[in-house]
Amino acid sequence: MRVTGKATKPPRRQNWPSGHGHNQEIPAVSGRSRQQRVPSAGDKTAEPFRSFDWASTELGPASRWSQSVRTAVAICGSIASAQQEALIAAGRSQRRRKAELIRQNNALRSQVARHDATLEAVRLQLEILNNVPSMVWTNTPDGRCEFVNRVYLETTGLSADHCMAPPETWKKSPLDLPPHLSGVHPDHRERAAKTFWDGVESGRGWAYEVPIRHADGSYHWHLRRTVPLHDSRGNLVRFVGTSVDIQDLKVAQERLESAEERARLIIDHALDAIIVIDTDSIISGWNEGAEEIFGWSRSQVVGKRLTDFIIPREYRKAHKAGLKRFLTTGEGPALNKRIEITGQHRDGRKLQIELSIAAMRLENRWTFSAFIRDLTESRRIAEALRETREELAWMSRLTAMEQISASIAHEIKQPLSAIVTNTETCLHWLSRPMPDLEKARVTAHRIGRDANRAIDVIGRIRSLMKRTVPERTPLDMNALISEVLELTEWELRKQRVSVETELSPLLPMIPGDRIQLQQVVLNLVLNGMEAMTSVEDRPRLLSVKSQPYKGRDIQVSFQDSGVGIDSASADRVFEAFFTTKPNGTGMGLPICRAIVEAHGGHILAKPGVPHGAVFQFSLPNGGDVP
Amino acid sequence: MIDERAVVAVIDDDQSIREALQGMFETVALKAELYGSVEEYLRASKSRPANCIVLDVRLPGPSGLDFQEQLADANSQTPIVFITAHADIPMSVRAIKAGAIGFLTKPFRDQELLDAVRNGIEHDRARRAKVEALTALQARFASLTPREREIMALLAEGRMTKQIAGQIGISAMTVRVHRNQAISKMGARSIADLVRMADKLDLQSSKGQSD
Repeated sequence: MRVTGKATKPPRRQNWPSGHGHNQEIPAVSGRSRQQRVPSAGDKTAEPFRSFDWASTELGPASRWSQSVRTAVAICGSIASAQQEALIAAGRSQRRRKAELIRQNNALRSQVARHDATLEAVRLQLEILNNVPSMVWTNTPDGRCEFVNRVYLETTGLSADHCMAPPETWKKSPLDLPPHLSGVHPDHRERAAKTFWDGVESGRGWAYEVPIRHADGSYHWHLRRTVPLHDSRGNLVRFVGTSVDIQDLKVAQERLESAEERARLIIDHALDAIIVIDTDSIISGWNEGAEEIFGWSRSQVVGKRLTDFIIPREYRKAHKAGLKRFLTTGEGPALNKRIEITGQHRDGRKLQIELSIAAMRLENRWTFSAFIRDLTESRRIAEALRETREELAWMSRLTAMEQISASIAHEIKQPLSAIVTNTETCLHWLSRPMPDLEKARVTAHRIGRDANRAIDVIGRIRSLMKRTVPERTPLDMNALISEVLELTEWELRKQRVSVETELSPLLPMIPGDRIQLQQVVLNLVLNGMEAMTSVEDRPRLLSVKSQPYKGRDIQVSFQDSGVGIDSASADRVFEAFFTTKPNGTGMGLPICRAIVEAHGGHILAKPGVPHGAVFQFSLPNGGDVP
Repeated sequence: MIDERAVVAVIDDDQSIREALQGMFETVALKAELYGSVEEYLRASKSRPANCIVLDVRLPGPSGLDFQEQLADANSQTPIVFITAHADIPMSVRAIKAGAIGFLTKPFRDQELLDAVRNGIEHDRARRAKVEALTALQARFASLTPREREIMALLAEGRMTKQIAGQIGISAMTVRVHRNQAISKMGARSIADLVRMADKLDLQSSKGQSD
């Protein structure tokens, strides 16, 4: 049975069940001021939303209550008119009585007015309940749905009848939910059912997050919370629940979680160590990179003091001071830039590390993230690489020297031969009956000069054969070219190669490693010479030119009249092991390129005109050599 | 002991070697002229060739003897003493065949070189003497009349006076007159002497030429 309101505009829907529930009396309202529109049994404020305290009133279903009010009004009205008729019928001195009746009438009227106000307040509360922007419902202590608000129905698309279907129409199961929860996603039903029935049985209410189907068919995550209401004697009367759409929150949270997961993975898989500490140096973050570099596992160090683990004893004081300085000045040496310092491995080994620190203020506390790279390994690799390169260059030098060994021998024999002759001559002048001292002096002077020349040649050869650490000094490239041509002269003649030089007197000095650049020139001279061994129909000519280039740089070119190169192999001749010669190692030109490029220069090969090949390199004048 | 006018040309592109050799020749009072290249020497020696050339061959193999060929091409008769640090057998054979008078391999004693050079100078002197004698002979031969030359050539072939007279159609007396005239002009002491001169001049009769 439903009750329809008459005197006032009825709520759009009346969902209050009337066929069951507790039989409640009209709540006592007398003694309350008329201005106090909303009755409240507790000592609460007059504010409607807050004063409606289900738990502490005995307010029953409003429909029954309003019906009682109407009945009372009707009864009061009939009593008053009967009394008036009796007065007229009695027809005498009943002024006192009349006054009494008027008083009673007035009292009743004001009582009706008060009841009207109460009714209005209840309607307002119902209106509010139906329109609060979240789903609201109540459950009986056995879990049946007793009331759902309008937002509930609109959101889920369920009907009120469906939600509040009588218990006999659906089967209660601990694994399933009552009809008002039929929108719960199938995958989450069992879990939701367990929470629901546990909450019902314990009487403590329940709360859970669950995806619920909306009227448009989409599922939204909801947070459903239900609290128990008790009467004044502490008996459970019903549960009242609200459900909030947390879909957006859930999505955002999932995104955040996956972003966090990603960040964690990135941090863990970074090759660098990432360590997070606070202002007391207490470690809160320690990634796999840190485990790898320092040998301590995350569980061993988190929550402990950084200084006890990776900072060598002699630097601990400095670390503390640095931290303190940052907190007072906001400055630090490794802050947002990379510095190289010494760290310590678990086994006590000192590590060369690169460190940069990012300081972040989180929740009013400073947090420091240290990004650390182990330089020991990369240093070692770089060193090994450099050594290999030097060794290769050295081997190549020895090979080249071997090629010109006869030339070298000749270069040494020449001055020695002159010395032998001069010595005999000198002795001759001295051993005469009248020694010719002047002539002996001139000859001895020549001996000295030639000996020095021999020493020079040997020194030059020795330096080419030695393995040395490259060093940059200002070099006269023209002199360097001349020296190499001197060393190779004999070999060139033997191969009937004539050499033409055009060395610019304006060539600036350039910084470079003498031995390395001699090797470049030597390799290019031999390369040109070898390219011409099969040439018989034209002069074998090697033309060497030097000139200033782009202001302060220099350019050196070697042109031969040999077999030449095509444009395709011009790009490849500097590749290792690429050789067109039967006896070529294929290492000479790659080494040239490595050396030239290490000096910041460039080297190229191109076909010569009308024949042969041109090898050309340029070297920059860095200006960084004193 | 060595002719003071003798000149040794030292051809070497290495200044130290050139100067050292010059110093060494000075100890035996031999004048040494220094040249950096064969071309340089050939240009300077046109008017007065050296008596001996000391040539430092810097390269092994045939190419090392390019200088020698250059000298031969320039019609230089001057004896050459080779010094080299890189001698090989084919090279020395070729050098000797091409007229080298000495072939020294470094290192050598100074005396070895001096001996070789002295030898060269002697050769040169002898060659020059020979050339001078022939030149004088040729000058005298040039003063003969055609008939005297003809009879001298026929005598050199071993013909008797009468045979000559019969061959060229003159009297034996006239042949004898021309013969005596030729002996006198050539400064020969006898007919046999005249015949040797004809040999030196490599004379052949017109008949022999036409044979």
